[in-house]
Amino acid sequence: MPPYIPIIAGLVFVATYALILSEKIHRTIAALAGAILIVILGVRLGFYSQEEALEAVDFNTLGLLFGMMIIVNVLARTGFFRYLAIRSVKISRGNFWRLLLLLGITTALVSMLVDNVTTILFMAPTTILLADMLGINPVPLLMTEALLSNIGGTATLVGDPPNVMIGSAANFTFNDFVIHLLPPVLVVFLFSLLVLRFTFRREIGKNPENTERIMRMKENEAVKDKKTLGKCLFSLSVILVLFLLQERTGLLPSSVALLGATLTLVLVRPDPKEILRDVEWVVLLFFAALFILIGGIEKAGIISFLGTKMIGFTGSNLLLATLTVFLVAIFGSAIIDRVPFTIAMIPLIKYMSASGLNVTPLWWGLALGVGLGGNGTPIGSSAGVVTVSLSERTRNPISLKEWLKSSSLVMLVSVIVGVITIVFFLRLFS
Amino acid sequence: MSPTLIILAVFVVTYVFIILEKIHRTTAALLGAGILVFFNLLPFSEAFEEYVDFNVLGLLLGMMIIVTIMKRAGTFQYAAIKVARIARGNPWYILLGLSLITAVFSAFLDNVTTVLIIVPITLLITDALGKSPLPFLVSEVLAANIGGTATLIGDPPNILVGSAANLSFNDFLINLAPLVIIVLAVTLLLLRIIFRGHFGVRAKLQERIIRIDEKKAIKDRLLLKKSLWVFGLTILGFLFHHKFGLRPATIALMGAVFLLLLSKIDPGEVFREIEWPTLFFFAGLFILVGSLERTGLIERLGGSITGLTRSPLLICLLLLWISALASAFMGAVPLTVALIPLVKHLGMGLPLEETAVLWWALAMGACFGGCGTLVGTAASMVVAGISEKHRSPLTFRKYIRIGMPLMLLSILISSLYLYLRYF
Repeated sequence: MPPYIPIIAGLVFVATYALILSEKIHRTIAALAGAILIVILGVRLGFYSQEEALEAVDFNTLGLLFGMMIIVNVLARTGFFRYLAIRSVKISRGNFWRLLLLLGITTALVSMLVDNVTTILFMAPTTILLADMLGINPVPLLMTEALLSNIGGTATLVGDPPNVMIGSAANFTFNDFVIHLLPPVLVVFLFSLLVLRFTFRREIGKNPENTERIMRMKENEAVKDKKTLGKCLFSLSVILVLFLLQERTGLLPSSVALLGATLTLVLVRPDPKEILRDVEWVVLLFFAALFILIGGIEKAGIISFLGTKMIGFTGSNLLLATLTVFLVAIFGSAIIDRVPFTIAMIPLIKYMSASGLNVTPLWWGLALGVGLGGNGTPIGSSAGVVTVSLSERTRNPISLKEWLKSSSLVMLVSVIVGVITIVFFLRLFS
Repeated sequence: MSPTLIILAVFVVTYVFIILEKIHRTTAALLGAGILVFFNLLPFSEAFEEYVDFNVLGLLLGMMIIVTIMKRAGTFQYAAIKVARIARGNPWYILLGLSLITAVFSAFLDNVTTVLIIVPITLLITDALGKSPLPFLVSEVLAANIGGTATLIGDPPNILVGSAANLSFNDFLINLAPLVIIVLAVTLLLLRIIFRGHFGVRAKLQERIIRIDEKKAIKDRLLLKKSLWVFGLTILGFLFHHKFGLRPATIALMGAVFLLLLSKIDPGEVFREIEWPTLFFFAGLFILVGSLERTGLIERLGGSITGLTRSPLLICLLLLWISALASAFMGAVPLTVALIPLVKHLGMGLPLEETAVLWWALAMGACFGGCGTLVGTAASMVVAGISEKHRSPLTFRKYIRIGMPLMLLSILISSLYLYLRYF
C-alpha cells in the first residue's frame, strides 16, 4: 500500500474529529462529510469500496438505538416521564443533592442491566421535564446521568455494547465481568460522586423554589393514557428479560430492541409517520457516518500499523502491555466513540495474542478503559451523544466546555484507579 | 408446513394488505418482514446485508434531503407561479406549462414532493380562473409519472431497476428519455383533444393571474441559488457516476451533505421532514421479496416462462404488458421489487444486450403502468389526497376513465419502440 494512503486517511479522520469537537458545524454534518470524503477517496485511491463502507456500519448498535427510541417515543406520549419526574421530586423532597443522588444512582444501576443509551433515553427526558418544572438548570443532573451511566455500564457484560463485544471475543461470562470489573467501577463511582458534589457545589447549595407546587401535584394524573402505558411497560419487561437472558438465547441486542419496538407498535398502533418523525435521526446518522469513517481508517491500514507499533513497544511484558492497552483505550475511546473503537481494538488484541502473549488481562484493560473512557468527551460514548443531543433542545445545551467541567476530574479519577488496579492486581486479572 | 409455503403465504398476505390499504403500507411491509425474521425464516444479518438494497435507500435519502431544502427556499412555488404568469393566464398554456415543469422536476426529483407543491398552487390558480381543476390534476399525475421515467432517479421503479441491474444514469437517459418525450407529447396532445371544451376563460380573471408576483414565492433567495447550484452539480455527478466508480447513492448523499453544509439549516429539522415511512416501506419489501427469492420459487417461475417461449421479443412484450397492468392496480413499487428477481433469472441465459432490454421493458411497464389508476404510484395518491378537500375532488373513477386508456396507449407506443429499437 503506498504510504500516502494512511496519511491522507489519517488527515481526513483528524480533520473530521477536529470539526466535530470544535462545534463550528453540526456534528452530524461534519461526520457525514468525513464519511463521504473517505469513501470517495477510498474508491479513487483503491483502499475502500462502497460495499466495505456499508459493511463497516454496525447495524446492531443502530438497530438497538432505533428500537429503543421508538419505544421511548410511544412511552413519552403517555405522560410516563412526567409521572417519573413528579415522583422523583417528591422522593427527594426538593433537595438538589438528594435529587442528584437519586437520579445518579438509579442511572448507574439501570445501566448495569440495560445498555447506557436506553437508560439515558429514559432518564434524560424525565430529568429535563423535572428541571423545567422546578425551574432549574438540568445540566448538572444530565451530566451526572451521562457520566454515571457510562461508569455503571462498565461493570457488567450486558451493560453496554462494547462489553458485549469483548465478552464475545474473549469468551467471558456475566459473572467474570462482575467479579473483575465491579470493584474498580465501584471505587470510581464513589469518587465520581464526590467530584460531582464538588463541581456542582453552587447548584447544590440552592434548593429549587417550585418544590411546594410540585409536591402538591398528583403524579397519577400525569399519565394520560394508562392503557397504552400498560402495553409499553409490558413490552419493556419482555425486552428486559430478553436482555438478561442474552447469553442463553444468543439474540443480538438489536434484535431484542426491534422485537420490543414491533411488539409496542402492534399493541399500540400509533401512526407510523409520527413515530418515525420523532426518532433522533441526527444521532443515528451521526453514528452511521462515524462507523463508515473508522472503517475507512482501518482499511487504510492505520489500525494495524498502530497495533504493530504497540506490540513492538510492549514486547512480552504483560504489565506494560496491559497498561498500554488500558491507557490507549481510555484516551482513545474518549475521542472516538466506544463502539467503533472497541470494534477496531478487538482484532488488534487478537493479533497480539497470536504472538504468544497471554491476552486475558489485555481484554480487561480494554473493557475497563473503553468503559470509563467514554466520559472523556461528549462524543466518547453513545450515551454522551444522546444526552448532549437532547440537551440541545432545552435552554441549556451542553457544550464541550460544559462537559469537560465535570468530566475531566472524573476521567482523572478513572485513570488513577485503573492504573492502580492493574499495577497491583494484575495477577488476579490473568 | 414447509418453510417455502409459509414464506409464500406471508408474502402474498402482506402484498394483499398493502394493496387494500387497510393498514398503513409501511406497517404492513415491516410486519411481514418482521414475521419472517422472527420465525427465523430468514436470518437477520442476511436479511439486512443481502436483500436490502442500500443503494436505493441511500439514493432516496440523498435526493429527499436535497428536495426538502429546495422546497424551503421556495423553488417549486416560484417555478409554478412564473409559469402561470408567462402563460398570461391562458388555461391551456398554464396546463401545458405546469405539466411540463412537473415532468421535468419529476425526472430529476422525487415525484411525491414535486406534486405536493405543484398541486396546491394549481388549485389556487384554477380557483382564481374559475375553472375546474380536473384536466390540470389529471395532466399533472400523468406528467409526474411519465416524466419520472426518463432518468435513473426520476421514478422509484427506475431507481430499483437501475440498482439491481447496475445500469447507469446515462443508460437510462439514452434508452428511455426518447420514449418519454414521445409519450409525453402524445399524451398532452390527446389531453387537449379530450378536454377541448375546458379552456375558455374570462379576460378579467386572466388579469388576476398576470398580476401575481412570483418573486414573493421565494422564501430565501440565497438558499434558492445555493440549492440550485448544488442540484446542478449533483446532476452532473450523476452523469459521470459510472466513470468515477461511484454508485448513485454516493452521489446523491454527497450532494445532500454539501447542501446541508452550505445551507446552514439545522439538520435535525431537515431530517424530520424526510419521508422515513417510504424508506422503511422499501426495506420491508426488499426483505419480503428477498426471502421469497431464497426459496427458489421465483427461479422456477422464470424457468417455466423461458420454457414456454424462446422468443426474447415475446418475453419482453409479455413483461411490459403484465407489469403495466399489475402496476396500475397493485402499485409500481411493490410490483417492481417483486419482479426484479424474476427478470434477473430470465436474463441469466441471455447475452448482456438482450438482458438490458428486459430491464427497459420492466421499467417502462412499471412506470407508465402506474399512470393507469390513482393507486398506481405514491404521487398519484398524493394528488388524490390533496384534491380531496377541494370542492371538485379528483376521484378514482374520474381519473381511471382518462388515465387507463392513455396508459394503454403509452404501453402500445412503448411496445412499438421496443420492437423498432431493439429487435
